[in-house]
Amino acid sequence: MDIPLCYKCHTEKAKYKTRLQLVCEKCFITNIEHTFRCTIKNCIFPKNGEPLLICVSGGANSSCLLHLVDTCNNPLKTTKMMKFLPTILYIDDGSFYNISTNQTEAYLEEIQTKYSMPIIRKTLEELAPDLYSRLPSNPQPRADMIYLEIHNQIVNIAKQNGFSKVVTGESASRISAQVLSGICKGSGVSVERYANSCIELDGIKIGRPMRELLDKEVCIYLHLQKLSVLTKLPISVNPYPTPTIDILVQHFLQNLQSKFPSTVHTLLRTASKLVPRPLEGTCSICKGPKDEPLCPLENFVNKDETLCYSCHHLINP
Amino acid sequence: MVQVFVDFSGGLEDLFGRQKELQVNIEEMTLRQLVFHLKDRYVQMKPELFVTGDGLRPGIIVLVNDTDWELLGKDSYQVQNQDRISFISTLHGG
Repeated sequence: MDIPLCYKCHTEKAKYKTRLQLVCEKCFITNIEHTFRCTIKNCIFPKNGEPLLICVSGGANSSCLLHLVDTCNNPLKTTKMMKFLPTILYIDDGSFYNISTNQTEAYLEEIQTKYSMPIIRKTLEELAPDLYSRLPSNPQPRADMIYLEIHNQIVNIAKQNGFSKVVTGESASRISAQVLSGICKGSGVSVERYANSCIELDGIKIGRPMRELLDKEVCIYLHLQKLSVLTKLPISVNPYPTPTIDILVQHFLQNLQSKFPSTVHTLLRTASKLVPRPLEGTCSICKGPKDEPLCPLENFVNKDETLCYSCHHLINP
Repeated sequence: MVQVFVDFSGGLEDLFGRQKELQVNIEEMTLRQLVFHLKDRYVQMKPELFVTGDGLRPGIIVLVNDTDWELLGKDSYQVQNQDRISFISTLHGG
């Protein structure tokens, strides 16, 4: 089969198709690293000598994030070195999914030798000992509660350790799925927070430098760089008896993306244009704006004044 | 006969009994036929996570000798002897 030339260098044969563009291996890697560098500069702009907390869960996105941070900051890999001081934060939530610690240990050992960055390692039980007793049995609220607790703990750890900037590894595909599932779960008022490249919580800036990269780009990059990933939740092991809204939305979007390659991009760009409704007060769980349902027919009675509409349903499913 | 090397990552190896790599001897066939061959002979659990009704499940990337199958005609690519075919899942678990 006659393979066209790379759209960028016009010399090498194209090897990958992303966003309708055909690109060779060298230009693909350069593109990813350049996009990441631009996004991290735009979203949090880490200054020389500034400490930066890199949140790593071991999944594909955060493993890629860690490698890309290293390429920006390692004098052996770049001539345009960004001189921030990265520290890895690993919050171990494996016990909530009944996953053995052997894999985790091997993964952490590998990243420690590969990147030589300091690691802060905490378990979720140690950070929130009462979480297990508070978790609802319903799959979706349970997953949301763990996710929100981890995010709140990231902010606490950043504050305790003197970090003012944090980066997390949500990719464009992941963020667009969060936007759609957020609307389904009644947290539409917080959707603009999911879609933004940077948010501020309790004085800590949380940046998402992977938000311009698609899952496909992340996975091919990991494959080419031969990076290992900690598969906490293999696709065959559903920790819940029924699929969660998040998983259903993710499958729906992947299906749509395979037929219409601009789906994720369009969703993300549209969500980025949302302007928050001015609301008073902050929800005590998700730290988002506190809202009430717009439809009076719902007969909504808020049993806890500190919670937003969505988190109220999280506690009282 | 054609000999190909197939590898799985991103959690897909779980469907194949935690095997990350397979060496498969097959008759001459297309990539679409290979996908169904793998599903019939090697998938040990939840085949619906590998194949949907009419082909490979969306969200699984296929690389043939590190080249995107979309550049090679996807399903209709004729598998060659000594090809390395990588199946990478982009599906998140939770």
